[in-house]
Amino acid sequence: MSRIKKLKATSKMREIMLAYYMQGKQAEEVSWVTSGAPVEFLYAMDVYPIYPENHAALIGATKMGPNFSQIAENEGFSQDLCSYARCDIGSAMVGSSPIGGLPKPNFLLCCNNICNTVVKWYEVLSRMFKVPLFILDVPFVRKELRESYVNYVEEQLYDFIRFLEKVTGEEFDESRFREVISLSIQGVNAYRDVLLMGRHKPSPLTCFDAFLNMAPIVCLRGTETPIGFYGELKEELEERVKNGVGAVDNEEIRLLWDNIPIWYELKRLSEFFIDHNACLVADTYTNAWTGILRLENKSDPIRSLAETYTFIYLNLGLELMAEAINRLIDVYDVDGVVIHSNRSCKPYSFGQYEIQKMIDVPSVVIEADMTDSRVFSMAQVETRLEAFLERLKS
Amino acid sequence: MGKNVDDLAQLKQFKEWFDNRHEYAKKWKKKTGGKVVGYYCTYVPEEILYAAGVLPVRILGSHEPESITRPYLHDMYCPFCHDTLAQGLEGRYDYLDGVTLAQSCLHMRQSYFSFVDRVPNIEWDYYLPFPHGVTNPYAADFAKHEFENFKAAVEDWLGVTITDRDLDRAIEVYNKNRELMTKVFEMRKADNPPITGLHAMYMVVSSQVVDKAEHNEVLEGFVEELQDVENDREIGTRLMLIGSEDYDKELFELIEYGMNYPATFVFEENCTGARYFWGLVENGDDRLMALAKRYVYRVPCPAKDWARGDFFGRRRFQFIEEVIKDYNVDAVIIAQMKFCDPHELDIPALREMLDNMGVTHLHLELDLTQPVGQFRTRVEAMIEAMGEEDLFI
Repeated sequence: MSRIKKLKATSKMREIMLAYYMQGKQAEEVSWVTSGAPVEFLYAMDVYPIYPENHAALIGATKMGPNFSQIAENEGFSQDLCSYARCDIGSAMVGSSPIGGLPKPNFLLCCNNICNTVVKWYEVLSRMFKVPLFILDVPFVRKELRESYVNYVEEQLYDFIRFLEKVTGEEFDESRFREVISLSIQGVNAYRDVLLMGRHKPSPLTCFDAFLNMAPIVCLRGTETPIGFYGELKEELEERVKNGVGAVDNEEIRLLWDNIPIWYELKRLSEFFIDHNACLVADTYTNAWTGILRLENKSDPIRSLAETYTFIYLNLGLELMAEAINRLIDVYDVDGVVIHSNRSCKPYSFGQYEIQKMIDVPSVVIEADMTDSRVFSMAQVETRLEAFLERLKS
Repeated sequence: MGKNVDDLAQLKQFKEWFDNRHEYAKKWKKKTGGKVVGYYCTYVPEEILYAAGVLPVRILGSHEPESITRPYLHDMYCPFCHDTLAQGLEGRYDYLDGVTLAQSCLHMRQSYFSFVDRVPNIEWDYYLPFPHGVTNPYAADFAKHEFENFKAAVEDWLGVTITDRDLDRAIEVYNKNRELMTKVFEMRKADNPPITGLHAMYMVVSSQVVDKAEHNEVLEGFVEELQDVENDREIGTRLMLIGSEDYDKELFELIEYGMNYPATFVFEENCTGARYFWGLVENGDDRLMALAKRYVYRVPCPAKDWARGDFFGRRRFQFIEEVIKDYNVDAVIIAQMKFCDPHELDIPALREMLDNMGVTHLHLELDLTQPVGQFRTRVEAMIEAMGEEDLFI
């Protein structure tokens, strides 16, 4: 029997996401969108957003990554490319996936604040589906957020509104937009409260729980759903805290995970850490969504969006990234960091060796890929992690 | 009897500059007392540095096996970024006073940061934000604004003022270099092109590492001399090179001089070839805007090349199509640096376009060093297959 203590909310999340994908198939106007894009505009214009990255994670979690990757590889896409991109392109080529493929997009919204690969990936999709592509170009923030960056992004957001009005034939409704933003902020806050439960000792959740339950904040941000869902999840976690129940019995070591999960190995890795009395109490990945929409300037939501979507974790220089990690180390009181060098994700794996030298606690680098299990060796990873945990325990 | 191109003093000079680029920069510093700035990626507006009396040199690798970059860079970053960092760590760039990068791809960014942090004696570094969305309507304005900041930073560092006259002079020198190299490329349209791809590579890459005014003097002579060149080599298959930076002479030597079938490159669509110099700065009252427009509207690197709103208007593909026709290209070698995702994602569409045009193509993946034997077999097989139709006439 598995030692993993499952959260009841996770089954609810599955229902929510199934309904989300099913509704998408009926939606009139569908846009495929990157995970770091300002989805609020789409919900405000009644456009149904579909996230190929989330879908690729689903493909990874159902261990079908190599299958869909190979379809794309057979068409000439390199095996060195991001495996989310390969899974998505492969799935789109054959029109299937564990949920029966994604609904065809009417247009595409791509924001390069998470990586540069999405730009080329979405262009492939644009050619494949013969639909318009809007790319929101966000300058990289090396040390500070400059006004010129925000101006540039803001101009493009207004351009995007015109683009949306053209493709949907509807006028942009600012009051509806403000409503969506308000829902978005409430959702993000509810989600952050869930993640912050990891501060408790023992922690009532692991980052694996956070990974499994992150889909609603990514895909449904801007609707009522995440607010209710994360509210319930928090109650469940509070119940655990009240009863002194930790996600890991005998929590001896508290860890932070860096990078996207290894979707096809969540269970084995989860059990590995339980067996070693180690709890991954937080991670940089799910926390990236808590920073969205601070919206300091409420009178000008568009400028605020331009600011917050420029200053997101994956778009920051190394010093700022290390600062963010140190903040998490502090907030969650962790003893060490497990750094996933993700073959697929260059921006996330960017400078990890340099970051190791800038953070306040010991860390270990493990090599894997988020969805392509062909480049993963559990035995090697286990050996490295065991040595690291031994070191922390001593 | 015309001259043999390999005997031309100018060509020898390009090769000598290419081979001894570090010595050149060191001598230049000694001679002029000026500063040398290394740049990553060809989106850096070199004219601004040049206007301040700085020598901009492109940071390049050496194509030698290395293992010293592994504590800084993961293996899945491209060999070029490993190779360039290795040069810095090995002290070959110890003469640089400054380093800069215009926002291009993650690989370059990664290498750049480690280079800045790990290579000693660098007194100035500047990460220059540059739009990725070169097709969006605000890109030139944004680039201009960032060029202003860049100019101010250079002025601040050197304690100088870069006047419009300085910029005009720099633009003039750079434009002349572009015009002359374009002239040389134009000559390759001929049935019997006067130079090979190897020669073109020496010419273009040497221009990236020496004072452009000096390069222009030699180039002028080169253009003149090329009129009298009589090529005694068999041109064979007319090849076009498309892809990542490629300054590995072994590859050119193999394909143009080392195969059983004759073949000659007539065009290189990469950033050590035409993409570097194609397109002039159209000067106007606002110099920085003129520069911004040149860099934003040049033939783009695949990292920045996409069509906005529709899927027909990609500038690079249109450029490639025109070149294939104008230069009477028989076959294309797509040479992509391993792990270069912008190229990797473009290649299926590029192959489709070439197929539709009826142009034969072969995809080679470049690494730090090249598997020359394998490449020979593959390129020869491609040329052999192209000749098959003749066999069955």
